Amino acid sequence: MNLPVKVAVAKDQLRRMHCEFNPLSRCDGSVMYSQGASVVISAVLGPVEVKSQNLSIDGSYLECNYRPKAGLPQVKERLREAAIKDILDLTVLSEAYPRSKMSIQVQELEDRGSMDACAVNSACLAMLIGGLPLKCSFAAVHCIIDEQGDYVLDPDHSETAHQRASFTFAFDSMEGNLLLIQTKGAFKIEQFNDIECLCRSASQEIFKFYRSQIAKFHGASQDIKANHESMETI
Amino acid sequence: MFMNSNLFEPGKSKAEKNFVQQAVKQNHRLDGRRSNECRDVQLTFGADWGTVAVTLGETKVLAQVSSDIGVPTTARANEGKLQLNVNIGGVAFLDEAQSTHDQRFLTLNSLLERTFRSSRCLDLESLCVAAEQHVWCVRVDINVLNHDGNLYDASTIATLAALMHYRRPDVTFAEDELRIYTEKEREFQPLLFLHYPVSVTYCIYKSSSQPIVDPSLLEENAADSVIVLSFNSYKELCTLNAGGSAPTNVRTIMQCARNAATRSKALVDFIRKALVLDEEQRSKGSGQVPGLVGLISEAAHKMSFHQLMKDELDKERATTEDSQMEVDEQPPEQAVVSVAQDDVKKEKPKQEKETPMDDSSWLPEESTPATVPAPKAGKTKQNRNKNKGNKKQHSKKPQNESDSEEETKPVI
Amino acid sequence: MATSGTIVMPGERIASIEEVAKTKRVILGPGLRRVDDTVVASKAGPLRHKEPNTFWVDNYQRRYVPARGDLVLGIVRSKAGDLYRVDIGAPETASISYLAFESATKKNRPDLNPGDLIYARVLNASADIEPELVCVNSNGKRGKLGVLPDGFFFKCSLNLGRVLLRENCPILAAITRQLPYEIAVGVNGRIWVKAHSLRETVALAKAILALEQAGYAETDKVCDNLGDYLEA
Repeated sequence: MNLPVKVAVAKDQLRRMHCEFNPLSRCDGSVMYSQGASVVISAVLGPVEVKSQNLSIDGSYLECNYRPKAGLPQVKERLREAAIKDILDLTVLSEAYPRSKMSIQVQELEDRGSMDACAVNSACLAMLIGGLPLKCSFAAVHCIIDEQGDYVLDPDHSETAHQRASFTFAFDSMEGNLLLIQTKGAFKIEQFNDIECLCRSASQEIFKFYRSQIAKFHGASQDIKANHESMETI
Repeated sequence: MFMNSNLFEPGKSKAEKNFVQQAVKQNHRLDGRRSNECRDVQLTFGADWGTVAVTLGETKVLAQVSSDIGVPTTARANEGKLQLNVNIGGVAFLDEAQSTHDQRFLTLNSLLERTFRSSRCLDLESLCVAAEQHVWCVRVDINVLNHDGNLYDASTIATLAALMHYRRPDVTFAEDELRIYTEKEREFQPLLFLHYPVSVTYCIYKSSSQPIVDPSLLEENAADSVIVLSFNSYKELCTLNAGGSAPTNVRTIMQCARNAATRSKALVDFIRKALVLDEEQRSKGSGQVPGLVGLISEAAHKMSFHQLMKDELDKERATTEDSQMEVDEQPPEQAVVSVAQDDVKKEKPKQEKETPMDDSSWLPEESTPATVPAPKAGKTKQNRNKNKGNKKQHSKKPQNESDSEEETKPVI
Repeated sequence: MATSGTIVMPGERIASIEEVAKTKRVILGPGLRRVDDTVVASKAGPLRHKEPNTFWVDNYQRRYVPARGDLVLGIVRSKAGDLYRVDIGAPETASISYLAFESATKKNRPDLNPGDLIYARVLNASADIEPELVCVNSNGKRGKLGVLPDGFFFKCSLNLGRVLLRENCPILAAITRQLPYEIAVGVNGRIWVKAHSLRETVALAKAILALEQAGYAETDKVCDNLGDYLEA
């Protein structure tokens, strides 16, 4: 398997995605996910017993935590956490397990750009492998406008230094509805529309990746130990 | 007795407990290891300085070192600070278990504090920029990712490796102006060490006199007592953590200590080798390092203990086997003292004990037994005072000996 | 028997089931739900079909959600009045009455203690109430249910538990050729095994856990290799 030794990725392409299912043994489902050199690990637990103050009789309580690699969660991390939770609130079929809790933990391993999108995508993969019911799957794409005014999809850490504006979009898998928009910086509305289209088409690639990984996981469980630790994109 | 229903904890049902006890009695481990055989350790260094992921069997720990300039404490105006921050929640879901959360957290935290802070493994004086004004505050974040037994060793290995890997920016202080250089301006500086401590964990069962090293989660949960020993690469004892309800005699502890010293040395050597390899990769790869993506890929970028330390391992295996047989032959002639009378539920108060230094069998490999360190006594306060007196040569002080039997009794 | 199917993802409309539903009633199993007149998947995994009309998504799962009639392995957690609280790995702890054991009366209570392992059947389960277990069948006989005194016990995925519980499971038959053993499989992904000696029990557990990696299609191959685990 080729390690991403900074393969020059075109500006309108996503970086290479990799994932490994169930690297952790304690939780109900976990995934180690990387996009380029950004790596996150996500784990889900659920449905499990809920504390009585969070108990809801018509749906499960959703808990989402994002942990940075160093230090305590700050505003940035809390925002990311809130973004993931908002998306999950929209997509989880929580009425399937009333009076329970679903817990999603995202641990940052290495931040090399597009962390918001990575965190969302890994959360989706973890939900899929943990067997938690979803209305639909979801994918997030990060994009920036660099100083030349070019659009850079899924930028690397080094490319984000001189950005004019940054965007994160999340889409659902069925109708392509927008689940989340995060923007920063100054931009024109045409640029916004262009980037939305760009991200929308890129999200299809991520959904394809999800499907191929799930297929591989179940395929691997059919032919013996077919190396399901190292799953590769496309 | 039970953690909670949300997470399955192996080793908590009677059937499992009995089974593990039986297995240990027959000198058989569930994963086929021998009683003195450890699982493989894998290190993966991140792209940033001071990031390291340690895999010990299925146990995974991520450590990250960061540093910034801060103000020193008035008591130690010319020393930098070392802060250890343990996080067992997150993806490991260890905080789900409410009742034992504190216990696990506290035990791990105190072990790390004593191993790295109280033993003064970092040269904190070198972290001082201007006395009473600016010092470096080094912070280690230890994130537990997965717990499959022996969190202690995985965490100490991760912490040590991260500290050894870390480079801080160079800084100058002139005319009341603090200047921090970027990596391009001046090369980053590694931290300075006085010694390199790392821990080794043993489990002891009532059914057998043979302790087992590097327990899995099942073995650890079913164990009657857990002993954690921290040694540095000079085979000096830094921390001893013992507790639980299994009767332990001095001989067992000494046997553990002897093996742990060898193992610690091997681990530190392994970390050094891995660092050298990492350095090579960094200089070769024109600044582009795979980083933690290596965790997902095949073993190419993981540095495995078994791979790097093949020769040493064979040697070690030969020697430990000898020493173990030796011990097995000798009947436990000393009176067996129950380490703690309290039952399993109160396993928590893991007090330290002074190891008797008068034992002539202590570390036979060591040519000068006088350099054996003073083990860290109970409270850190006491320690600090002691350290004040004899700063760096804390280890030279010969330990006043006393009756070994009394030493094994708990001092709560 | 189940046919191995295509991979479905959450939110996907499954037209093939809708087609069948036009002519006859269909039963939607786990991972499928009905939204108005369409059938939509809610979990990711291969779609399975059992003749004549049952469909479900065979996703990977570790968390057990109780269902009526399931055989489960539980650990007794505590006594509470007339009940024992039992951990079965479900969102909630299950309860079992003192009287739900063979020949138990108010005077003659079963002797269960925290930490004991029991093999029980789920009497009733629903999302809104606490699951209840029994250790007797409708005739008041214990059958295969009850306390499991010794042996070894471990956790695996629910999928493996289900595979082992299938009728004429080839895996168990293959192990039988190698050595005599006892096994209790819970659909909650917990397995209890016992053989003559400790070594055999460990080998047995290892052989079964090796199957976690492999799947249904390749069981024969694994069965052939079982001997290696058992001899080791």
